[in-house]
Amino acid sequence: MLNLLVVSINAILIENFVLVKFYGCCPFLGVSKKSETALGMGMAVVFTMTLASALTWLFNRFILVPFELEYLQTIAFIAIIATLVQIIEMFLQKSIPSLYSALGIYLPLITTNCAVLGVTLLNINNEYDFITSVVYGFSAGVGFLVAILLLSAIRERIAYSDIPKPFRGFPIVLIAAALLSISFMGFQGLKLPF
Amino acid sequence: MAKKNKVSYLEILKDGIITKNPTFIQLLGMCPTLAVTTTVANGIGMGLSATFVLICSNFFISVLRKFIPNKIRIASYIVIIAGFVSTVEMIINAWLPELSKSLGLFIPLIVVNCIILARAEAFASKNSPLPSAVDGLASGIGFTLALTIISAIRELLGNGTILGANIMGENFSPALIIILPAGGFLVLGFLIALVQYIMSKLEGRSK
Amino acid sequence: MMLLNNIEETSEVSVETTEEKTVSVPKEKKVRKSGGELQTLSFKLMIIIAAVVLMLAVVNGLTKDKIAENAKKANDEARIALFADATAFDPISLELTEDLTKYIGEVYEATKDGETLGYCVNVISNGFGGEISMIVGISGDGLITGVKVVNHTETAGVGERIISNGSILSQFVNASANSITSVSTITGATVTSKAIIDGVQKALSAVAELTQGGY
Repeated sequence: MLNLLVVSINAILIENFVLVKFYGCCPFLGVSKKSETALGMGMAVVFTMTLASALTWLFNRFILVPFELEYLQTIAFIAIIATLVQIIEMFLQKSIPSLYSALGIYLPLITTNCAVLGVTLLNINNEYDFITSVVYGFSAGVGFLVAILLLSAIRERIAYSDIPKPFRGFPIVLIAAALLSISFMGFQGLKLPF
Repeated sequence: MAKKNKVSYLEILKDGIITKNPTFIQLLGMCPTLAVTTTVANGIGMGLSATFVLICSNFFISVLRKFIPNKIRIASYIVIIAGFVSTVEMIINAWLPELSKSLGLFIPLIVVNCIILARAEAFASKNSPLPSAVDGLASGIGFTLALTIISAIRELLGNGTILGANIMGENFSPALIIILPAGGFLVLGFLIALVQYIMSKLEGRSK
Repeated sequence: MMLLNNIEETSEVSVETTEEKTVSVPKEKKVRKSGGELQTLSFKLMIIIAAVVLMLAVVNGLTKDKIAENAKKANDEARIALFADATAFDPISLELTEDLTKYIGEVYEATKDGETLGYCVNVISNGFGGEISMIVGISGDGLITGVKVVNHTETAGVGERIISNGSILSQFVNASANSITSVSTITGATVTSKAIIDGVQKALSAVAELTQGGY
């Protein structure tokens, strides 16, 4: 249990998936203009990452490893993620239309979110067991959610600020992200029992 | 993006490298741009790997553009791209183990680099194989160039070296922050601001 | 399959417009496909997948041996660097207390003309980006001859930097179990530093158990 908690806190704070490890920067910088959209995107990522971690772990353990097909990892994982995203989309559309209308438009974007592929590959690289992989996937997603929510809150303020012309738009967002990343470095001081 | 029927290779190259630079102008593929640019060697390694994938995937997607049904277009592209990425990964593992150590997970993650899918969708799916390959090359060079610039700044300020060679002399105390994650955001932010500044000046002149 | 279309985030700037470019295609309504069409689609996708898998299998066949050889070579070179005088390295089997077996891999005995010089211990430690696998050289009298990192996934330029420039590894040379506490962590890469110190300590305790037990 303690171990899982450590993995979780690690993924959310100490080595935040976006701000420290740079996975999922595209949607982080792209879909963070408003808190609402950021929340939607973040939730969709948490959901997909958790499921994708579970599925890819099982696929790797029971199909790729026994048949010595590890070199197909990348291609198999991206295919699983793409299919998963498609299934989630169809499922939500039919069963939970309210959630679908909230998350719907972000789901297709997730396939090309490198955080999802990244977390599934990291699970295998770090030789996590099934439960740890799922927890790690979930926590990494939460890390993404936290980061994107924070950035979106900052951007909502930035929208009303007087910014030097060359910095308008993307550059100021990057600088805000840099400051956010610096503040997350503080979490490295957290001492966790390994 | 390809509005003309007649393709001019020079135009494609200029577009990919300068006027539509994937990193500075189109702002694509941010993850590797930020993550691997801590040393020039890494930046160039990443850039060239992506260039190889871009050329191959653009070429083959263009060859297969009539075969691939529109509805499963994206899925087919991703499969083809993933194939070439895995190829690059294995080649680097075999012959450049040092590079594979420092780039780590970002090699397989070339699969989800938006630049490659963007070029497949915007160019290769509409043009014949040769121009597509050239377009891949152009975007690849543009990407590599951008990574080289960013990584040169970060390595120089953060470590006092370029390609491992000490430039700043003994008394220079490197600003570690620049090669930490925060520095990646910071350097890219300032570079894009610079690009925007130059562009606005150029526009002002042409008017 | 994946309808990466109709992502209309009109209010967003820069990046998402680029995302849209990636995927901007005429809206396709998800119509129920007729059986025949679905078959053609999946058949074509299958052909593409099969071709790509075939290509990967070929590349894998070409590179597999080389990759394995690289890993072996890295290990061998590291051992020779730790005990330059040694003429032979022989793997030895050892029984360790349970909390160590998890981290300690192979142990090689370095000998020179039949005389034991020391031990090379393969250790795994949990770093910042995942596991750090290293080899610790420990001489017969308990001094560290050196530490080599064989494989790691530490952040490029941060954790990776202190490994490659030797700022932490060099501190271990000639340290003993007692003096290892004076090894200082490197600013900005504390987690990596601690992981390496931790790994070295485990290697030391493994060798201590080994020599005490008189194997």
